[in-house]
Amino acid sequence: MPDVAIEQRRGSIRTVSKWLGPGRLWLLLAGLVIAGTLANDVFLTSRNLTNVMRQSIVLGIVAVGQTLVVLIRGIDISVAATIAMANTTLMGIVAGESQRLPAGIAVALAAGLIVGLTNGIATVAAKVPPFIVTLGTASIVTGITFLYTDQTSFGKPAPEMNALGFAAIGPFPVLFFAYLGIAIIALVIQNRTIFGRHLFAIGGSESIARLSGVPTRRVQLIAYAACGLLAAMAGVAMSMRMGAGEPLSGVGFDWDSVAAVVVGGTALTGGQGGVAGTVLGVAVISILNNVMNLMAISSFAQIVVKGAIVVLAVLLSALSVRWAATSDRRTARLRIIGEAEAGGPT
Amino acid sequence: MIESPDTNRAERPPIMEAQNISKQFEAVNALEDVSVAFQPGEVHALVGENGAGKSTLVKIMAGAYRPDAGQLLQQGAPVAFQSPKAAIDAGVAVVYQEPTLLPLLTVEDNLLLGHEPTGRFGWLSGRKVRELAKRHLEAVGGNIDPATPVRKLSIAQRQLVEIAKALSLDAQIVLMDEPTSSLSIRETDQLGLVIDRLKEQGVCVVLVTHDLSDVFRFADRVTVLKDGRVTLSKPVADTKVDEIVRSMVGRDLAYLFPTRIKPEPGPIVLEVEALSVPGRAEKVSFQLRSGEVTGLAGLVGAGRTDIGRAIVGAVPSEGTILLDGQPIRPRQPADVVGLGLAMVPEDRHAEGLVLDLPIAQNISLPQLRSLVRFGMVDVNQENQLAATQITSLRIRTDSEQRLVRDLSGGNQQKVVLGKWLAGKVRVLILDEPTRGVDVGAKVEIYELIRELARNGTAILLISSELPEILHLSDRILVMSKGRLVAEMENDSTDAADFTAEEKMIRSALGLERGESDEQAEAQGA
Repeated sequence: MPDVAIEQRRGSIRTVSKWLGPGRLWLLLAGLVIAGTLANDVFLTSRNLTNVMRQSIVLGIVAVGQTLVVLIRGIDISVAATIAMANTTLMGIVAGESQRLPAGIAVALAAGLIVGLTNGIATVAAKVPPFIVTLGTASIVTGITFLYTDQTSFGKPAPEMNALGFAAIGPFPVLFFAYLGIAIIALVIQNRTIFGRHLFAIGGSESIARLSGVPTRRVQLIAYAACGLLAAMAGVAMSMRMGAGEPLSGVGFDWDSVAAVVVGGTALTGGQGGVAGTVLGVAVISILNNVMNLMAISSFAQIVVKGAIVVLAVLLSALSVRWAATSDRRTARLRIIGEAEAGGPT
Repeated sequence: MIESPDTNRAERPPIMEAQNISKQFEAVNALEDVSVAFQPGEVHALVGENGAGKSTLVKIMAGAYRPDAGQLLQQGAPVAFQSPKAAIDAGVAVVYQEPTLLPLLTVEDNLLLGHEPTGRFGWLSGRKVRELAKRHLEAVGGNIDPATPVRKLSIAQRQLVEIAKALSLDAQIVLMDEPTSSLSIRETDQLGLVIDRLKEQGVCVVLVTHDLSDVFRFADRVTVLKDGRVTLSKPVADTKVDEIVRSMVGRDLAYLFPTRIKPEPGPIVLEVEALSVPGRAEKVSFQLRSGEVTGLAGLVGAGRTDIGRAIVGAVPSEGTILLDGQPIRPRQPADVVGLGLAMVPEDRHAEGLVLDLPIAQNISLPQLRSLVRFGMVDVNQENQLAATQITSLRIRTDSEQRLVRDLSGGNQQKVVLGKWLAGKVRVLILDEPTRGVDVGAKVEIYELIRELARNGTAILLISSELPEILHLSDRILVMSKGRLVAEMENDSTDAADFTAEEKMIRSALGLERGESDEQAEAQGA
């Protein structure tokens, strides 16, 4: 039956997009690159592309963490605060001394993990909506950061940090590989581990997952903890290029990371999408920012464009869900008619 | 049912035994002092009306609820499951009535959710998943591709996957909650094979059902629950339908349907001319008369629901709809509320009720406008409206403020009815009004339908259950593949006379089935 062939083709498309992201995003990305090239001579130079990669590192790392949380129908808006905390903590501890670097990184990451665990415990145990929980932790973490730094530039990097931050292999920044490495690990966890399966199951329906024997609380806790840890990693990566710890360095990464996840095709209702799409979403947003900068579009107008892109992405994903539902109904109906003609379901 | 499990009862300890279990929800006693034993290799039917406590007992055995009093014994030793996972690990598998498949995941991912096989280094092994899924699917014989996302499957196929999911756990005891409610006859036979195989392996199969044909078809032993108590527990061979029904509802089977006196045809209220719903139904014409019940028979997917939806403006349509001879063009259900036109949808959870709102707010929803005083909803009047419907529909609840979610299926369905009857309804379209409703509530809904007709309402009754159509309708329409293929007066009012009408409907649908199927269906009513 032709039905089976179509189904198999769709099956392989699903497998591909699980690892490489949805095809429509690749099209969008290609369109953006062409538009950028046409709009500005500088865009396609290796120097500018290096720049784009550099700018996508921090956003990319946070967005990978955000994806894990959004997949289970959660959201973490404390990531911006965690980035700033990791950044200032690291700078404060290192204070220009190279030998304190490992300790600084360890403490910064531990702090991020603790924020993530707090988010997880509060959402899982107390069943408070994640938006409220993370709004609260964001405020707490920001407050602590301000107390610690007195809201001024703080601490000092070790020389190795800047060296690493500016290092590049050819046109590729070294930290960009770190980001890609993190994304690939997350992708493998998402697609090839039981934990990954459980993320999608919980996002689909927490109660069904629970009745099926999925340890829903543990999975949710780990997802939030990982998100906090990744936000701290983003903060550490950011520190590599900065001259000091900035208490406001995380501003904007909360919504930008959610935007990247949504543009990347992960539904805010959970259970669909994944890390591959998010990586593409980050690329789309970074290139868009870059092109608008090159074209000297006012930063206020850029905010408008960014918002419009997010709305458009949500709209598109809602529409594609509806189209899919229509086609499902059609195939189900055809099946019923076929069965009736064949004298009963087979 | 030939070899009675009672003979070897003394030798083997029950796989699971409920001892004096009680459970309360809010103020309602869901289970009171219930004791049942489940033997290895036994098919044990657990029957009762909705709200009788069957599902509560199942959920306790499955670790989803904990009993307030009493205990559960497994192989003679007391157990207390703290979570569904604990029960699964102890060898208890459940096929739930409500869907427990995730529509976005593939069949194989759903099958093995919660107990995924691991390959080397603890990685998920795609190959193993595929192989295991194939094996479990073959056991239920559904001819289903494991890589298909569940959302693409028909309801019956999903049901088979649910069963395969439970079997994949290698359980000692398999609890099946209404497993045949969405299966065709052929698939039910397939389920019989699965159950036989489980029996041979010494597994205990607990069938929770309100369909008595399942009991006689599959079960060795039957236990009846009524209002949270055990009212009957016997080998199936030693009991009869009548006894079981009496234990379930406290009344006899013969009185299931109300006696119908064929009314004088009233004036035409609604007329549909060449009504088409693109892709679903084509050029359907009929008339509904005041005081008459018009039955609309046909198979699932024949376009019956689409016609109903088109009349209330829930789907776009072409053609003419005349109300009292005046053409109307409803674009959305809100357009027809004021005209006295209402449809009670089949899927009450998705389309009929807001589960997390109280009864009163559900009932008042379509006529909120008439309840507004000084720009605010008059809560007293709203409650009065609800109280009236609760009394007249005999909705079993202690207050009109009870959340709809807490009601049993039959009572939920009555709330949907009340929601539309609270306004002045002249044309009522009922889509499968007794689907998922227990025997007792069915009887009440049947009486209500006839009573509404007596009071002058024109009723269009969409139903897949032939006995319902035959007993309740004054006129019968038959649809097949989007077209109206037959229309007839239903002159017989006695159950014995339906053969002629039934034959006509079956031939209009191109259905000719064996005698045993017809009997099974009659018992299932």
